Amino acid sequence: MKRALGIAPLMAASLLGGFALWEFAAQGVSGVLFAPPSAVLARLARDFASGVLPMALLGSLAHLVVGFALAVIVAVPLGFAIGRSPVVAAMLDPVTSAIYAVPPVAMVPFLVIWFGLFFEARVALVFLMSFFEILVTVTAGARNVDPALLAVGRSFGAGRMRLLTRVMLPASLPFVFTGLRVGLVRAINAMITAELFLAAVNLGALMKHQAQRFDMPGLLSLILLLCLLGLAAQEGLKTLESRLLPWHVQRS
Amino acid sequence: MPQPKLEVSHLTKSFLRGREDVVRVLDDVSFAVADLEFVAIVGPSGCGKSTFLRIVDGLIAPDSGKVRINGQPVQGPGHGRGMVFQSFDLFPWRTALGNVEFGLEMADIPRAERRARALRWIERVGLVGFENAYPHQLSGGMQQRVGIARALAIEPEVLLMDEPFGALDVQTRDLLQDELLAIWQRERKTVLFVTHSIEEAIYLADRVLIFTPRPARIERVLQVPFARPRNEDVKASPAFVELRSEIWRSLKHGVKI
Ligand SMILES: Nc1ncnc2c1ncn2[C@@H]1O[C@H](COP(=O)(O)OP(=O)(O)OP(=O)(O)O)[C@@H](O)[C@H]1O
Ligand SMILES: [Mg+2]
Repeated sequence: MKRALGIAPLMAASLLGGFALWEFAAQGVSGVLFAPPSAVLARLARDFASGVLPMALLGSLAHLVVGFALAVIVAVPLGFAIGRSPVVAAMLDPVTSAIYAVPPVAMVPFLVIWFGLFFEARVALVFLMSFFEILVTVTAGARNVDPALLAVGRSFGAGRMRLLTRVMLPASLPFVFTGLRVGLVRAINAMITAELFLAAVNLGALMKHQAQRFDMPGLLSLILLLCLLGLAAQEGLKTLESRLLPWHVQRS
Repeated sequence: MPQPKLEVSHLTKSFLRGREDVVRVLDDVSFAVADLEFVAIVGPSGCGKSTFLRIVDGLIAPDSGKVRINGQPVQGPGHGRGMVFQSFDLFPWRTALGNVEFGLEMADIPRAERRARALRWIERVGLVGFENAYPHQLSGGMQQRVGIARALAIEPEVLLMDEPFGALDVQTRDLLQDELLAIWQRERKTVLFVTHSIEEAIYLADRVLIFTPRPARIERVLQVPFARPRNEDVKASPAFVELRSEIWRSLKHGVKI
């Protein structure tokens, strides 16, 4: 409690300091190259009020949510299977490690051929970029379940199914949450990457448009929006984690 | 002699170390424990005490030999045995109460009854007020009280304890020894108690089994003559000291230096 109180002012100070530095740095730089935070914030507010940004954001969130949800649904059970079954691990580990090493952007031409340039392709890129992060983390979590706790479970009569649901699953939830957090950040990355590298739509289209016109306040307001989105997503997951896993958050 | 509560006959067990190195851990271990008896096992480190207890619990299968409880062969864990572990091994995501409920949950006991029984055990091990604490919020001694309550809540006939107080400081250990004796007398259980401490073995047990170094065989069995209920004073008596050096000599005799 004491530490939480001590940290909030620090964070606020760091944020304000950052903005002050930014404002100062923007003085005397040409408006076609850079913009001060005052102008960027004003622009953000204006574009939000006019409805331009909310519409674009909603469009972007659509493929973010679908792609990320699909990645979670596939990666979490698969991570468990790889982490707990030597057979599945032997079959899938080399494949996933090999694909994991490829930068997802390199997959874009391939995705275009398969999924075209629109919604499906964007979903596919989001899926691809977040899937492996989640998979790798969940696999590590499932692998690292304390064997002593599994022995306790068996000693008290838990069968295979209950060992999975009552011991392995809760024991690896902290890893699952870490996987979700890292995966979500990557998914947000992919969300905007897809809109820039595939057909330009939503936030990506706005960005390209503003860059072409050297509209710095507009461009920076979009980057700021992405920062805020990433921050909100992570804080949201952290809050959810402290609600669902009080034993873990308090411990660390 | 009436039927023993627990009977092990000709247990042997080897482990594979690396690819082909076979390590024999138990070598033809046989003995019987009477109903309500408190038996302590001492032996050199790494001789196979935990392995032995795990076989009795049904967690691992012996290469040969049998474990019987009330004459019935043991196959797999559960049923009539409750285990208390050295490093407590509580589930960190469950509260004290949740940990005590675990075995009852595995036994499919309905929720309300489970809760009532677990609360009763929380009370008996002196943890009232800590029902909703998570293990990391409890001291070592409290955590092991939860461990003991978790094992006893399933109402086992045989309580298996693998160095349960080994990780605790001396004061907590002495306290828990007395509480364990009180519980044992009240609840009428058969206990198999592994320990490193000769004093602990004598203070608690009716009989002390001394294991040889690996592969473990039974080197000696000693009867502990002290009347119950026992208290700290017994530790200072000449008979206690004599018994302690007797066990110490037997342990040393087995160990080749
Ligand atoms: N699953 C296993 N695989 C291979 N070797 C094992 C396994 N379990 C135990 N051993 C070996 O068997 C021997 C006996 O181990 P065990 O844990 O039973 O000894 P212990 O008497 O309980 O020791 P301690 O006093 O240190 O607790 C050790 O040499 C250990 O390395
Ligand atoms: Mg041991």
